[in-house]
Amino acid sequence: MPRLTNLEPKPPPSAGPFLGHGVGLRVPHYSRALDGTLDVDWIEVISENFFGPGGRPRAVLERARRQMPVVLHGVSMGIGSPNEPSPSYLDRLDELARWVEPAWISDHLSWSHLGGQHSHDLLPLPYTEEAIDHVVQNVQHVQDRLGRQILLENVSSYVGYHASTMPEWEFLAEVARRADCFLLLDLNNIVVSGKNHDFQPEAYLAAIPGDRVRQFHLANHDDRGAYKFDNHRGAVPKEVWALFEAALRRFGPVSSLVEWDEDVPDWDTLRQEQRIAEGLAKSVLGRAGRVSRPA
Amino acid sequence: MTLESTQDLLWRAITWPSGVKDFLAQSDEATRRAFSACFRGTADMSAELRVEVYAESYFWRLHGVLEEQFPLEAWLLGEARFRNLVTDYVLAKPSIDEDLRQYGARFCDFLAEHESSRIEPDLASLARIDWALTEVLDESDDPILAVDALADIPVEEWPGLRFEATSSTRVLTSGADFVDLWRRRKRAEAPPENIRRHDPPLHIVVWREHYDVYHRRAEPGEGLALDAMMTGRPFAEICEAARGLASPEDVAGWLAGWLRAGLIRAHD
Repeated sequence: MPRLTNLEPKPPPSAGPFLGHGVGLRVPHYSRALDGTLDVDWIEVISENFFGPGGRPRAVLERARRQMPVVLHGVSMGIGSPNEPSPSYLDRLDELARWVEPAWISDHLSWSHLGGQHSHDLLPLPYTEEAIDHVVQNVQHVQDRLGRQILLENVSSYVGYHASTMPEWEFLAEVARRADCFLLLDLNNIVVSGKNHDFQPEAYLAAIPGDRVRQFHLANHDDRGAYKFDNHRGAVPKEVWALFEAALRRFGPVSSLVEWDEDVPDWDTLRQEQRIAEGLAKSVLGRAGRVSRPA
Repeated sequence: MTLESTQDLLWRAITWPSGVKDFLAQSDEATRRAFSACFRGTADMSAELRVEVYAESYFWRLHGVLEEQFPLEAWLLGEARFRNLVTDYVLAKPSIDEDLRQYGARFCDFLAEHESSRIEPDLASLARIDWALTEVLDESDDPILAVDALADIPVEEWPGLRFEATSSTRVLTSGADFVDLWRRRKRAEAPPENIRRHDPPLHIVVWREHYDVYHRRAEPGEGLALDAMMTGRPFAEICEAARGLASPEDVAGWLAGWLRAGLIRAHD
C-alpha cells in the first residue's frame, strides 16, 4: 500500500501553458535583463513602456526574451471604453507583439478613455448585460486585430453602480465565455474589491471557470480604513498569499506573477516574493507547481 | 442610465478640476440626481468620496509623470507653483495618447504661453531640454558613422559633405544655463530666485550613447555649427556658421567629437 505522503497531489486542469512564477520587470531591474541575471521563471512588462522603437527598453526586452518567456501587460487598452481601442494603439501593440513574441498579451476589464482623452486609470464598469455586450464586441475586435486571444484582468474598484445586475465574478466569467478570451486573476484586486464591495474572495474564486484562467497577479495594497486601495507597494500581504493557495487548489498550476511598482525594492527582495509564490505552489501542487529553471 | 451616459457622468466627475464635491455643487439638479442614482456608496463611505478616489488618482497620476519628465521646472517653480501649473495643463490639455509617457509632449508649448513664463521667460526653453532627455531614451537605434569613416575622403570633397544626426540627437537653446541649473538641482540646492539670462542663448546638445542619455553645453560657435549640421547644410556652410568664433580646424575637431559621441548617422 503506497504511503499517501509520497503521492503528488493531482492538479486540476488549467487553461494553458504554465510559465511558473515570475515578476513584473520595472526600470530599476532592467540591468538584470541586460546582463542575463533574471533568475525567475518569466517576466511581465508594461506594453506601453516599450512602444518606442529603440534604446534601453527594446534592448531589455530583446535580451529578456532570449532568457525566458515574456508577457505583455497593457494598462491603456480601456476595453470597456465607449470607443474601441484606437487603430494606432493596436498597431503599436501589434508591432511590439510581433517583435517580442510574448507568451500572451493581457490588459484590464475596465474602461479608461472617452472622446479621445485618456484617464490612464482603470475605471470600473457597471455589471450589466449592456456592458457585457459592449466589452465582448471590443474584445473580439482586439483579438481579430492582434490575431490572438487576450487575457483580461479583474481590477480593484472603489465604487459600485446601482445599475449592476450581477456580481463581478459573473460579469468576468460571462465576458470571457462570450468573447472567448482568457482571464488574468489579480488576487490582490479580489481582496481589495472584496473589502470595498463586501464580498468574500473565496466566493469569487469559486465562480470563475477554471478553463479560462491563465495567470495570477500577486501584489500589495493599502488599507485606508473605510476602503482598500491597490498600490503595488510593498510585499504581498498574508491575505493575498492565503487566497493564492486557495486559487492554486481551485485552478491548479497557473502562472503567477508578483507586481511591485511603487518604491521598487532591490532584486533580492523582489525575488524573495517570487520564491514564496514558487514555494506555496509546490506545497499545494507538488512538482506540478513549479517549472525547472536553468541554474 | 445607459452605459454611455454612466461613463460620461463618471468622466465629468473625476476630471472636474476642483474635485467631486465641487463638481456636484456646480452641477444642476438633474446631474446631482443622476449621480445619486448611478453610484453606490456604503454606510462608512459615500458614493461621492468613492468617486473622489478616482478623481485624485486622475490628477496625481498626470502630475507624477510631468514631475518625472520635467524635474528642473518642478524644482525651479517649487511644489505649489508647479502643482498649479500642472492643474492648468491638465485642464487645458488632457491626455490624448494611450502611452502616459507622451503626456509631456505638449507641455513645453503650453508652458511657453502660461503665466509662469511671464515671470520666468526661460522656463519653456529649459522644459524643451528636459523633454528631449525623455524623448531620446527610446528613439531608434540608428547606425552610427564610425570615427574613421571620413579618413579616406579627398580634401576637395569636404566642402560638399553633408551629415545626418541620429534620431536620438537634439540641439536646443536656452537663455538659461541648463547644465548649471541641473547640477544645482542634483546637489539638492535651493532654486535661484532669479535665473541668470545669457545672450546669445546657450546651445545644449542632448544625445544617447548606447543606452544612456547625456547632455552638455556646446562651445561658442559649436552650437551654430551643430544647427547647420542638423539642418543638412554641407560642411562648408557648417564652418561658415561658426565663422568669427571658430576656425575650420576647430569645426573639424568638433566633428571628430560628434563622431566619437555617436551623433552622426551612417548610411549604407
